[in-house]
Amino acid sequence: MSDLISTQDLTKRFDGLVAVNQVNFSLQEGQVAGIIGPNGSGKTTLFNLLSGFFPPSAGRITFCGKDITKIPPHKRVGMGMARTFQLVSVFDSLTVWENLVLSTIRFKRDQQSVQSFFFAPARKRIVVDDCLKSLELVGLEKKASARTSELSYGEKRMLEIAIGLSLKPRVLLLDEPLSGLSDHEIGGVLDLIHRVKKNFALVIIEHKISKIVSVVKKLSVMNEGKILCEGDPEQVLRDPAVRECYWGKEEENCST
Amino acid sequence: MRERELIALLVIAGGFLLITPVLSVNRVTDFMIFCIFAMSFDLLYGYMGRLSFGHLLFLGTGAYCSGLFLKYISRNPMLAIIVGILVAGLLGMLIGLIIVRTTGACFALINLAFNHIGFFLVLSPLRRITNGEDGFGIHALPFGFLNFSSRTTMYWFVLICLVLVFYLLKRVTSSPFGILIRSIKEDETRVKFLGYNTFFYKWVTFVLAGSVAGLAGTLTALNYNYVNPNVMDVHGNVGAVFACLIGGAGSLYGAVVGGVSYMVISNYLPIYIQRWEMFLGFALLMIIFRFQKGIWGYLQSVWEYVERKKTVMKAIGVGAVKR
Amino acid sequence: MIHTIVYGFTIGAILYFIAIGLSLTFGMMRVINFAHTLTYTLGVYMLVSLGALFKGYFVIAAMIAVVVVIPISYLIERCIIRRLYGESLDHTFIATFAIALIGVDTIKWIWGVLPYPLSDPIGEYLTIGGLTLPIYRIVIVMIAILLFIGLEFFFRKSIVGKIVVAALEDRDGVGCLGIDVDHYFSIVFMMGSALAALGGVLYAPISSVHPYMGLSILLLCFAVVIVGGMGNLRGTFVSALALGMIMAVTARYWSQGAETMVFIVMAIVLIFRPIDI
Repeated sequence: MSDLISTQDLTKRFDGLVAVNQVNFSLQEGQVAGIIGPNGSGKTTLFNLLSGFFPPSAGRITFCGKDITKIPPHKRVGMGMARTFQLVSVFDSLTVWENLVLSTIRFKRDQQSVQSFFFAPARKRIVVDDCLKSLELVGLEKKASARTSELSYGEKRMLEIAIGLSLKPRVLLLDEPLSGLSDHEIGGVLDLIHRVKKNFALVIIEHKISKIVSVVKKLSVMNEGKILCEGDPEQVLRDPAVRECYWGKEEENCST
Repeated sequence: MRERELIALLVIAGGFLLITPVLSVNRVTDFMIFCIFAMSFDLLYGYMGRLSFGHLLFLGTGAYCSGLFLKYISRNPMLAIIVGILVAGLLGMLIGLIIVRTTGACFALINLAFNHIGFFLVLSPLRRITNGEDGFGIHALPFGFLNFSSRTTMYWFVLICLVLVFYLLKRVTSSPFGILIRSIKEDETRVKFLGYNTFFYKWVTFVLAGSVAGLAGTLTALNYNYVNPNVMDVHGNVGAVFACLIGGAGSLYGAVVGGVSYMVISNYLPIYIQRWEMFLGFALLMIIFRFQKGIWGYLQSVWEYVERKKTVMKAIGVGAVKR
Repeated sequence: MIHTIVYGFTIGAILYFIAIGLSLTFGMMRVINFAHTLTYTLGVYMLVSLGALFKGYFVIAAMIAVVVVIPISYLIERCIIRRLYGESLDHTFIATFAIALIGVDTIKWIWGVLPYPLSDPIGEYLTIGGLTLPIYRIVIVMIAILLFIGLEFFFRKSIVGKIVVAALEDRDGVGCLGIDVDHYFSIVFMMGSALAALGGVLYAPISSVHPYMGLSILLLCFAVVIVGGMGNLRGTFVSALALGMIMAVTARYWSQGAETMVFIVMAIVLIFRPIDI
């Protein structure tokens, strides 16, 4: 099977600091992959490179067999790559359903025309219905017309994932989708991931390994900008190098 | 939706008709032209979050181009208006390519710099055709039954333009594109990751705002039958900023309310207050520190509060009945 | 041609004085300070009044004029700008613009709108090999170079300077070290304002004095800061001199187009190096 995403020697330097160092990451169609690693290991930088937030210092990124190293982020989204951010970023000043309008109308041929994009009201049956459908998926349909700033953090995160899903991506990059959430909310997000993961490939960055082990098929461990180890989650977690970098301290604590 | 739009247009037109007997036809024509300008400014500042301190450049371009057209080429006022709008739009297309790359105060100052260049150009290098600081008079022939040298005709014509511009901008701002530019105001990066080329849409907004300001410029020229560099004096930009802030940025109603308020203040207050600029400065500081929502925003929050109270009362009432 | 070069250096030096403050306030607090026009103009008008008082002692009048501006800039920083920290950039910008409006109107109130003529305080000419150059301009360039060296030392060696440089990089990081960044910001703000006043005082005798003189100079300095890089002190120095030279050369062939040329250069720079602020 061909790779959906693959990177060759991807490197990003920030004034002397090498945040991502010659990373060769690959993902297959429909695969669910997890990336773990300590803080500052370059996980988010890798995401930023993949999604085109900034250009790499060296290396290449291939998506769907095309070299996308120099393609701007909005075109990557058009090719089917969606992402969420570590700190939830939804549009607070809009209402909840309006947050979904921009991603939804991308897939409506009749809504793409200049006339309807620029002059027709956004509050239209066909648009709003689709937005509501996306909101139902994450259980926010009752708050559709509330102002987004009134949502809780967990709800905002769900909304952000809903926006990502409504982009109908071939791959969805989730940057720490569980951080800052309560156990109950984590359950909700994981449940959502289980429900939707068969539709597309998924990459999840996470700290809490135990939470995502049940979801991911492939696990990569990053440390100091490099991928330490990659493969089946169970195996990876048994790898001594990984244990040392990731749980080194914890084990010491346990043994003493 | 359609009905609400129609009612809004009627209310605005009615409002201007109502204040006409109190003020005067001349003044209200002025007010309405300024409101058109304030709305175009609000599209940039209130909706897209880009504060321009040089928006008068487009008004001035519109005024000068239609004026020069009337003076040298043809005396057809309709053609002059079209030329004014087109040239202002073209100018927006050209300098927009540079300007929309920036945000924040940088955006404001670059606009100001371009406005400064424009002012300087009409003042001295183009002196031969613009007649420098003295300006030039223009004379438009009647177009059909529209005789632009008549005050009342001008009044009705501007009123129609205002209503049309309001309708156009209302449509634009409540379309998906409107949501897009409001999203850009909040977080441009996020919009890029929704798959939109934000540069292009910012540019479109800039050009649209420029063209509408150009229309305001052509109307200014026709209204006074006279054009001089004051129409694009960089110090005049503060008027639009003030109008937008006091009315409530991010709403077309706010822009109209603010435009009228500013014009009333600037037309009547200088009679009583000598230090007009000082007053304006203090008023701006007051708005920034205490009244950021503006008149329209304030009315809106009062309205929301009342609505909320109503629903709460209803909930309590329903509970009582059940019991 | 030598004349043009000296003229260019003079303009560049003046632009450098004024742009420093803009660049520093932006780098530290992300505030573009429109009130900078006010401190500049105020310095000039102080010189006008004091110059009449201390007839013949230009240096004393100039020094007092610069010193007088410092407490005023402290008040501006303390009462307005500090309160707006964390607000949106637009609001801060509008507020500083409002301060400039109030200040300029006060100046019009006190001194009137009519331009004041000021003459070259030295008035001597230096003749080298058939070339006559006004000494005053050479003095300005000398002061600028001294100031550049002085500032380099200040920012490298002194504690205050080091803190400021660190805060330009990472304001919150410095705050986390237990250093009151706001306090240092107000020092920097006053320093920038005093330098703007110095620039005004030095430039006034070779330009015209009127209440709105600050605006065009602010726009030029803004171009300097854009070309040199926001918060980049050496960049500011180089771009000030370069743009001053561009102005002088343009003025030689098209006297009215000097300022326009600067903005064209700025636009070109912006096309190739978009900045995110």
